[in-house]
Amino acid sequence: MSAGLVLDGLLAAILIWLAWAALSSRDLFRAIVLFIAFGLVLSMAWARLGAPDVALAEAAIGAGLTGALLLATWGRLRGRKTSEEQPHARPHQGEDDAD
Amino acid sequence: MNVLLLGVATFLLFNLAAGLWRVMRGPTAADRMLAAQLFGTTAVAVLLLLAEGMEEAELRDIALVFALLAAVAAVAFVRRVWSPGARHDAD
Repeated sequence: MSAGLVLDGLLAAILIWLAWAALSSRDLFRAIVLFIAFGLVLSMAWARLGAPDVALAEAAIGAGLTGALLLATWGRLRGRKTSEEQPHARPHQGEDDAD
Repeated sequence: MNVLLLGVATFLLFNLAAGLWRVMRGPTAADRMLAAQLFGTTAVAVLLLLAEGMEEAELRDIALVFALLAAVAAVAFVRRVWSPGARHDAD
């Protein structure tokens, strides 16, 4: 079962990397997409571990429903932020001659 | 037969890992979402191969749910997030 060992090791490595990337990403949308990918890979890991029920629940709830809800929330947040005019707020540069 | 199917599933999983590069540095939100759609399709293929290789018929149901999930995520993205012409710049 060396092929299965390679598959399981690759699944575990992708899972750990995806979790770290989703948690440490500064871009919200990128974090959401990485979370969806994390749910997909985690569901494959459950299927590989012989728990198809848990994999089914993870696919439906963890990746699908939560991903769609997060996408809708991100769109609503961005719409609220860009509906009003973007004030050209310049950062205060100390002794900068701001007229 | 079993080793062949698991090997092809491993190759598809390597494809998924390569597709993560586009998620990390896609300039627009649509690039990242299309990479997620690619992950959904790849996961369907991997789960069907695992269902054949591990002789577990329940994995085909999970593949079916994945196909549904990808469609739901795409509809949520297009209806709620995507506005044409808007460049979502990543930092």
